Amino acid sequence: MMNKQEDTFQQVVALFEELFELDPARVKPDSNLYNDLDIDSIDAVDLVVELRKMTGIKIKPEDFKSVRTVNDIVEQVDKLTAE
Amino acid sequence: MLAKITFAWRWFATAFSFFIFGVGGIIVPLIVVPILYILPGSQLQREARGQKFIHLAFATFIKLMRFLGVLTYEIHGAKELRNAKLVLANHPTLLDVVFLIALIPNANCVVKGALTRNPFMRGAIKAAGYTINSGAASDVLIEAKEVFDKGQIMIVFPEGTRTVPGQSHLLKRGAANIAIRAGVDITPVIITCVPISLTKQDKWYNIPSSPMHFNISALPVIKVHDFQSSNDIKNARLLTDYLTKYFNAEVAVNDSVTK
Repeated sequence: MMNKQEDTFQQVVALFEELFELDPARVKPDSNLYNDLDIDSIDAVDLVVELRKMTGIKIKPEDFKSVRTVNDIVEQVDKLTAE
Repeated sequence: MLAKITFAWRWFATAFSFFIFGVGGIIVPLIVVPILYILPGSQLQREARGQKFIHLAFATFIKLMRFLGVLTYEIHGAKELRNAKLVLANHPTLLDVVFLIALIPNANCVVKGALTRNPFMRGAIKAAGYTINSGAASDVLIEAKEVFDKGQIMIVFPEGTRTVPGQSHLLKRGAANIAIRAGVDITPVIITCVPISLTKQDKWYNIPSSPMHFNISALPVIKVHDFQSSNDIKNARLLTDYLTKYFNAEVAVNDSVTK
């Protein structure tokens, strides 16, 4: 289970680098998306679209309403792929 | 002695102006909004009439303030403003949006969600169908495209709030995203107010030593096409960086000219 979480984290970091040109060294599990990584609500919508492509699962924007940190995304993705 | 009298006059004239704005903001929509709904026509026509009405009301208010000696102003590029699609302006004072709407008959402003709870403002916002930013810029983006389709001119303060005097301008990415994703050119507007007053920190009753002089200048259009080389996410970041430098440079030039 831990490995899966680590995998997903790495995928998210890679996605952040590709989409937002964020240095992977800056992205930590507890990084706040808005305050630490300068990701706004428009980016978040784009991110959900990309995550949908990456995981192949149908993600609803509501699933990401409560997401605040990178780890929240990882958990949410793992939860949705497990379903 | 005379100086004291003119200062006192200007203080009362300022107080009177705010009183008029406040009373007008509450009373006028109570009369105008029902009339807008009674008049025959589509939702779009109602919105257009509401915008035109607010435009005329704000233009009258600005003229009243000038007549009373509260302020003076100069406008550059009024024609360009009327032909604009997306107007982006710096935001030093409380009156910036009043000036811009007074200059644009079909203006649709992006307003902070909090203003819809402001009793003096919400009537005008409802009558004109302005775009409400409740925190989700992605929703504003969807509405912005409709606003351009309707042929209205969108006014955005890309900093999201009034600038703190002396601090550099920090732009959010919402405005650039609107330009990039709706594919509309930007008409930049530089607003200055000397002596500076009615900022985020100022109380209205702390009036400046001399009447405020506003300069509202529309500058040449920034072509969005020049920023559409990559994907939307990167383009919006590039354009935001460009606009941040642009506004900081233009406002600095204006400051040094007026000092």
